[in-house]
Amino acid sequence: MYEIVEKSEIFNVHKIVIKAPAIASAVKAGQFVIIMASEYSERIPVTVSDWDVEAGNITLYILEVGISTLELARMKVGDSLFAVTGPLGVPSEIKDYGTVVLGGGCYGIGGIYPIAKACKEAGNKVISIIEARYKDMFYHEKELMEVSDKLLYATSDGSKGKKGKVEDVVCEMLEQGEKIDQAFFMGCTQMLERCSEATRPNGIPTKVALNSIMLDGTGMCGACRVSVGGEIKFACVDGPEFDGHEVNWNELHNRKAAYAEQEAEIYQSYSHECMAEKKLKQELERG
Amino acid sequence: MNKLAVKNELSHEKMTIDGKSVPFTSGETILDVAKRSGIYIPTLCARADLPSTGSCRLCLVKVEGMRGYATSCTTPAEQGMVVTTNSPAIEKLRRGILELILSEHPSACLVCPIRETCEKFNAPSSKTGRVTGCNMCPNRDTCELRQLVEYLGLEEIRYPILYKDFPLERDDPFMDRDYNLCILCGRCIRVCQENLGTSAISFVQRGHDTKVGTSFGKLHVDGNCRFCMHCVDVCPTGALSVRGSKWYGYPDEEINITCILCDRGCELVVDTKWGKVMGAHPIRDMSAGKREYCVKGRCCLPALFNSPDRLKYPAVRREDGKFIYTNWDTAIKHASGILSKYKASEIALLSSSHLTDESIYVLHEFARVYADSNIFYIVDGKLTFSTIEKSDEILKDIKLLYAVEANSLTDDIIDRFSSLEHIIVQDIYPSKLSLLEKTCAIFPTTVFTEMDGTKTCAENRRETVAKAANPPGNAMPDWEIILKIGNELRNGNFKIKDFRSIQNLILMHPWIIGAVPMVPKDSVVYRGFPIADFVPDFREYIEHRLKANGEVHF
Repeated sequence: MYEIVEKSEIFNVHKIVIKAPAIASAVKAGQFVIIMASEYSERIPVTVSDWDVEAGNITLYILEVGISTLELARMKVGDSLFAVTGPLGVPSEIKDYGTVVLGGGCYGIGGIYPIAKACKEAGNKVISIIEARYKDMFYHEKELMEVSDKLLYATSDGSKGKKGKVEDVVCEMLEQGEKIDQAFFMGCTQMLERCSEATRPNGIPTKVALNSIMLDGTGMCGACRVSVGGEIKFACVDGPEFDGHEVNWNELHNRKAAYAEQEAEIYQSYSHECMAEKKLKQELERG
Repeated sequence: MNKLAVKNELSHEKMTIDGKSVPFTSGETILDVAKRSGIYIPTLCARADLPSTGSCRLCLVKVEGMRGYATSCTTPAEQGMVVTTNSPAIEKLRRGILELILSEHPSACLVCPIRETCEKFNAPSSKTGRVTGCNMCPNRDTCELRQLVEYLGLEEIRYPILYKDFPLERDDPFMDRDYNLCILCGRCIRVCQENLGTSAISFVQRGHDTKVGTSFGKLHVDGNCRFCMHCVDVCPTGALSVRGSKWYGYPDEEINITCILCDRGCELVVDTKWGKVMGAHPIRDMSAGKREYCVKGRCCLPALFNSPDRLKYPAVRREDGKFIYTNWDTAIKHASGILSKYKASEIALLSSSHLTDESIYVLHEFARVYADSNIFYIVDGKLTFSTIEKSDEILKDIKLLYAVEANSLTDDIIDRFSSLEHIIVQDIYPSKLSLLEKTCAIFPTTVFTEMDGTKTCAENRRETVAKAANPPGNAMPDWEIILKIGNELRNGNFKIKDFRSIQNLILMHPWIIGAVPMVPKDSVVYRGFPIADFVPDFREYIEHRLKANGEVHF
């Protein structure tokens, strides 16, 4: 069992710190884990945002978007996850690029942190750009600030930084003649698409962390398949990072909507009591 | 106020609205008169079916001779009054008020540059806990705030957005509350207090901390809330929502049905999507609690009817004792083969009070022709025959039982059928009867949202049952299955031919329907299955109520 040692919520993004020493000692920037809240829960892939080898903890930022993440959101410190599998996926390619731009939105604000950290350690000039609807919704800023040469903001209502989105900041930088050698983006699918389009005219190498529907995470089931440069790739074993200029975005959007019916219907018979019951059962088992 | 009286007795008093002279009756407000004259005044807190309080200030109008502006929802019309409902000054005022309201409502999406693509790609898949913008909100398609933003053409909010940061309230059954979206219009409180007389909620705290809540911050289920959800129906924002049916977006269709979970037979509108019932709510005119809907019809239908456990395909027992799924023709032949082995006096039918009139009539006709009128109901665990000539005496001779409400059959009752050889089950869910060796066929049938028909309810009202959803798998309405078996046994010469002939026969023999036991309104079962088994929140609700009051009423 994987105990939750710390938990907090910042506008629907839940920070969950889990005791998982084996993963903490093996994980690299850009990798993810697959977690299950209980024995009967769905498996969900989550980027590892930070880890502490000594304490044996990993930090995940989970966005509540459905019933499985709701289940996680309702867990408390001291509760245990049924399973945490990882590290999975190919680590980000870290080398001395020169100037690296990292863009993050929603869970991606936490998600880009380890990549920023690794890039900084490799000697890059790191510029982090984060977006949110309004200024109170940013999180993990202090840590990100420490590993970035520059931290830029974009908000929908203009309450902090630029009014707009990450790609607007990228475009502005390019207009001002800033040289970007490599870009990484993490966030919702359409943010990845928009950001990739923003870097395309200048031919900036762009990596995007795709978030297709994933099941086993080991390349067996093919649920997470994406078309990149006309080839079929599995986000779990070939990714999660791919060349943003080569991804077939329409297909990805469509595939992500495949279970809209089931996702809406499951709420009908969901009971928040079941978490309490499960906990009671766990306690009874422990004696 | 009696609306009918207003229509009939338009008095000779007149006032002028926007240069138009209109008659009115004393007691009407400016808003009432304007609405009747086809003049639109934007409102958020006012509703025709709720007492007005004038709290949102959006309905401000200029009344000549009156200082400042007047809220049209609370100002009574007067003889000779001259009212202007719209002018650049009033519009500016309204926009300012709306901007202030929106500054305390997470509304960044309204001014977001990528609003449209986000709405197309992100919104449908997002089922967020804490709503941080319109695109994440379950109420986005029916939000009255958004409608007003469009009406007033608001494109910018000059004030910084203040998020109130109230905790989400998700510990109650059926209901999610996020008071960070609340604009304090007070409609929910008015419907609960004034229209229903329940007073489960009220404004709590003072000044900036004001919010809607229960006494001492108790859970609704621990207070006197009955989860009629009229507060959700009148809420102009997404602050209140029914957890089970908030994420399907805009429904494909809204269909008027009658809820026949009990004999009250309430008129309901079901939202359907993907061929399934996804939600139910009162018809619009009833949404402010003119009639209190119970939690069963309002919240339980989708979970009760969409369970993956529903019977989907007819199954028959092979000679080697195993059940196999088959098509209807084979299943009907199998069943009629077994039926034809027995004399009429050896066959009995267990009917259900939850069936539609058509199904009940066909079952009775079938029983009359093939089963010597051996048809009974189970009411409160007791056998009830629909004719007084029959009594428990017949049970010992019965060799074949055709059960339409199989889950009501307790072991005690089955034991009384001492010479029983075969059971045919026609039901919506698997029951323990499916496991019995005597069971030789299982027929999947439809629930009342999956078939057309009628149902006689209390006070002898005959209400319409309409098909709103697709049946699961190959499930068929009860009357259709019985009709097929009847025809198979008589080589197509069963007295009843089709749906229309059943309707005519019901009118000719009303006493057959009249003799069926009614379903009491406090019933917590549907066709013998406890609703709580399929709706976890309903179990929680009745358990809380039983603990607090020792009884549950609906």
